This record gives sequence, structure tokens and C-alpha cells, in this order.
Amino acid sequence: MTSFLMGAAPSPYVVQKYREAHGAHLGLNAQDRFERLLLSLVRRPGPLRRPAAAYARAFAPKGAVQAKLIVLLAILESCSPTHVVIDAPPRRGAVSLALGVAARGLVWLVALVAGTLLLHPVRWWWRRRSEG
Amino acid sequence: MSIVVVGSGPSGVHFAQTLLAKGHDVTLIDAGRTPPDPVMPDRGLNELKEELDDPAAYFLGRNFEGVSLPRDSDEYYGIPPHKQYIFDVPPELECRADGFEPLFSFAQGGLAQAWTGGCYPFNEHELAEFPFPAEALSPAYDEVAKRIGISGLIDDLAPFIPAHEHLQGPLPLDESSEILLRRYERRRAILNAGHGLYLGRSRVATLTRPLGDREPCSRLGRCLWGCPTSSLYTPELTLKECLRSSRFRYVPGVYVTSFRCDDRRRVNAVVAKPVAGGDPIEIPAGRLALAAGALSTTRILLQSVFESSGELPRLGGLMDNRQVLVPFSNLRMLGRPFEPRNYQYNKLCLGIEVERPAEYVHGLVTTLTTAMIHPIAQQLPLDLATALYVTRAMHSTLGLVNLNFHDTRREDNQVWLTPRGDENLPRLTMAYRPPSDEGDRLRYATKVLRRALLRLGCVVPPGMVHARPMGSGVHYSGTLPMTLEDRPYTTRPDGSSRDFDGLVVVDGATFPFLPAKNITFTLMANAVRIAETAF
Repeated sequence: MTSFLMGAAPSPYVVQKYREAHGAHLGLNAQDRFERLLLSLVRRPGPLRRPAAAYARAFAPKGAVQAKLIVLLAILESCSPTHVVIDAPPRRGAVSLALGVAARGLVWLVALVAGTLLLHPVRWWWRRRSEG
Repeated sequence: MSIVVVGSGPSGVHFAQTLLAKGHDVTLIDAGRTPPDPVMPDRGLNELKEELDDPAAYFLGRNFEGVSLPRDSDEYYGIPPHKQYIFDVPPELECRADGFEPLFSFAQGGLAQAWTGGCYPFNEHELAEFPFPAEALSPAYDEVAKRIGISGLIDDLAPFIPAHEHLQGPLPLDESSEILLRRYERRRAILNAGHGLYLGRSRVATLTRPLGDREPCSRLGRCLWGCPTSSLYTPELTLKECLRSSRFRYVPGVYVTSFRCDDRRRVNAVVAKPVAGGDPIEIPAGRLALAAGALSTTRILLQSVFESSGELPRLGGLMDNRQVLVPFSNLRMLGRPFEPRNYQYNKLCLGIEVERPAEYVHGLVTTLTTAMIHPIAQQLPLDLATALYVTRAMHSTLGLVNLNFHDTRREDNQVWLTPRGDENLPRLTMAYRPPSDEGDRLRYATKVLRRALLRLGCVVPPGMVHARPMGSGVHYSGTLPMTLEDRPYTTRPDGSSRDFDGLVVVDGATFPFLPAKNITFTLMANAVRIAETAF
């Protein structure tokens, strides 16, 4: 998931702190089958990663996927060298940066629509089956 | 006999220091929790991230309690893990509150250990309901400014924020604040006349020149994490000065639950419980000064009334400042890096003029420099990777105005004790309802601010304005008001109780009106005034 946030592999320190966080009763474990699916999609590099993360933020903002990402970001911004990247603006001029933000926003929108179309039916189907 | 002071917050320590200077013997009783030693006091915030062995433990806590997760329902204060000790109180003292979310402290220095240093004297309009002339407080403001060191400037905000002596020069501005101020100066006429908005430099208890053994701010970017060089004043510094006096006796590790009095209702002792547990102790008191903070002082008084008479009165008039957080983006900063070695709290403040001068709205303008950004990124409706990119791009543009609103004493905002039917102390209970016109006032000020920010080249992101719950302003006051009228559960202009001889109240409980300003400077000044006039 570090590569999803930062585009790079985590340091051993980040891995260790991330593991420790899971022992700290922060409610980071997936609660049901659907959360486990979301988690596996966000963990795995591929075209479904961003749609799954966008879906998690929009429809399960208090769920395990979003919580794990937040804890990871908190660890990454607390230590070197990742804090340097997080603290610095992307290296672009103001106009280019504004366009970059707009482009990322567009990608997010597409990812959210894709995630909703793909994952909502799965969630609905599993919920129906578990209730039935 | 020694004068007993309860509490080492801003009121208590300045009251004690003034009494010591006048030759009195003082005993200060205090729960007195102390902070951990500052870590690497000469290093900047980012250097800590690079040089500490376990930086995540420092920034997020050993149990990751400093991570802000979306499921946390409580108001987010951004208090770092190692400052949580300030807010830890025994479960026995937990209160019940309706419409109010109070904070308590057992820390040495009280809740002001976590303050942001704002020093804004009340003007004659704001002191109109106080039972003494505004001039009576002026020498006390001067004295406190001399003791604690205040930096700032007499500027456009002077009509709202009176001048006092011993003002050090203002703190240097960061780039974003400088852009805001320059734009304000170019658009001053329209902002003043058209919007009733004024911008100026913050007045803060942070040194820009040496004072005693304290050095000026070296801009480590660690203000929120606890200034490691004591450039930002906290009351524990005055406590340390008091401890140098042979007339001063410090009794830490106990919290006062009540006071005892004789048949003629003259105070003769205080009852205190050890914080670590154990039997209560009694400490003789010829004269007693309650400075435990408005709510704790009220609790002690109510408990004493209950023990001496069995009565459980309800005290009205509870006040706090409503605060509204207005985030903004200074678009001129887009793509620019921020300077991490910078003063972290507000360097600018603003005032919004309203029809009645006493109802002036005060705003603290903080431009974001060093800060944890995971609480910000998660607020965006984007997936976290996109939110991180956007937050990085916008970081140096981000700022926050904390608008403060005045409050008035209303008898239906009450504090009382509820017996629990066990060995525990009765529970402090309170209920608060905002005034009926509050919504209109908040909307008006927010609208003025949005428009003014637009003129300053800033935008307020839609849906991000947040009215904080009552109680989060931590300017509690009004339960034992100073008044000229002879009424029960009030205090005289010199802070003395009308219900108990030998008792003075020197904290915010005595304020009959709460202006829209940080009250700590006035708490200290009023405590000095009472010590000078009543002893």
C-alpha cells in the first residue's frame, strides 16, 4: 500500500510500525468478506486498485481499508525519508500544478464511477446472500 | 497564616507571584502533573523525524493514539501524544454535560499548557459589564506583559485591542502571511469600510527578544508539540519563579475537593485528595483563593456548599466562546514550498466590526507550515493517494481562520452537582444552550470573512467551515460573576465571595461577560488586580 500512496516500497521501519499499529486496537482488521475483497484490491498493483480505494473512501469511510491507509500515511509522514516527499509540493510550476491537480481529480472521478459500477453490485449481492 | 491558592493555571500563578511580591506567605495546592522532558530541544520538527530513533512513537504515540481516524467522533484538537497528560483527570471527576464538551486539566500550569499564546486585552466596551473601570485593569495588563513577554504590533486592530506597555516587536511572517498582509494593505479601504474587517499582527506570549533566562523564538516549528525553548510562555514558568521564593510552599500531587468553614461561614481549611489515591488530607487556610479554572472552582464551591449545608444549588451563567473554523487556500502560494522552520501558530489576526462594539468578532489567522497532514488529507472526498497529491500541492496555500464569538451570561446555562449514591464525589453536571440569535451571527461573520478572503486572493473550500462544539473554546467563565449587586453565589469586584468569608475567586468563574477574545491574558491581569487590591 506504500507504493499506492508514495510510488515506492516501504522502509523496514515503516513496515515494523505498520505491524505495531495493527496490535494497537485501532480497528484495522477487515470486518467482512467485502472489506477483505476491497483490501486485496487496494494492496495489489493493478487497474482495480484506485477504483477500490475511491470506493472505500466514498462508501466505507470508516472501514478498515481507509483506516489502514490513514495509519500508513501517518507513519510515512512521521519519519525520514518519506516525510520530505510528503512535505514538499510536486515539482511543477503553479499552472502546471493546478492542471495536475485537475487531472488527478478527473482520474479519481473515473475511478469512483468504475469502482461503484464494479463493486456496488458485489457488495449488494454478498449482503443479500448473507441476509438471506 | 499562609494564603492558600488552589491551582497553578494562569490565574493562580500570577495571583501567587503578586502576593509574594507584596510579602505574603503563599501555599499553592496543585494536582501538578508534569510534562515529559523536551526531546532534542535545539532541533526543528523535521530534524526530529530524521534524528529520533523511533519518530513515529514521538509523533503518533506508543499506541498510535495520535493517529486521527475517521471513526473518532470527538472534536479533533490535534494535541500531540506527549501533551495528552494535560487533559488526563481521574475517572472520579468525569462530568456529565448537555450541549457542552468541557476539558479539564490536572497539569502543572493547567489548560494553558496547551494554549496558543494569544494575548488580547479587553477594551472598555468589553469590560462594560465588569464592576470596575477599564482603567483598573490597565496596570495589571502592563505587569503581566512585563512578566511573560508579549510580541506584536500596534496596528489596524488597535481600536479593538488596546495597547499596553512592554510589547516586544512582532514575530517574523512566513511567506503566505506576508502575501495576505500586503494584499490587505492594498485593499484596506474597501475591507475596512465595505466589510468591517481589519487585519493585523497577532499579539502572542512568544518572545522576539530575550526575557530573563528565556531566549527569543528560534522558529523550530514545534509550537504545537510544546515549545522546547520556553520562548512561548506557559504558566509553569511563573510557577518556577514562585518556587525561588522562601515564602512560597508548593503542594503538588493533590486535588482540592472542597473547603471547610466555621459556623460563621468563614473558610478555615481545604480538603484535598492525593492524585495517586489514598485518604484525603486537610490543609489549614486562613484565606483561600480558588484559581482552579472556572469549572473546577465551581465544582469545589458546590461541593463545599453541599458538605456544609446539604444544599445542591444550580449556578447559572456558564459561558464559553463559540469558535468557527474557516479553512482557506491562498492561491498565490500554489506550487511554492513552505519554510518548515517557522513559528507554527497564528502570526496574523483579524477583527470583524459589528453594530455593538462589545460583540466584535475576533479571528486568528494561521497559515499552515509544519503540521501532520493525515488529518487534512482524509477530509478530502478523494481516495487517499489522490488526496495526498492534492494536499501536497496545496499544503503551502492552506490556512485556517479560527473565528471567536462573544458569549453572555444566561441563567439557563447551568452547572450543578448530581449525587451518585456511592462513595464517589457528586458528579459535576452542566447544560448549555446557545442564544437564539447565534446562527445569524455566525452566518454573518462567516459571510464577511469569505468575501474578505476572496479579496485577499484566498478561497474557502465549500463544505469545510466547521462550528466547533461549545466547550472546545476552553474559555469557561461566568458561574460566580463579579457584580455590585449583593446576590448569593456572586463575587465582589475584588473577587471576594459573598457566601464565604476569607474566600476569593480569581479565575474566569468571576467574569460577567465573555468577549470574543482569548481570555488568558485577562485572567492573569485580573488575578494580579485582585492580589493588588484585596490583599
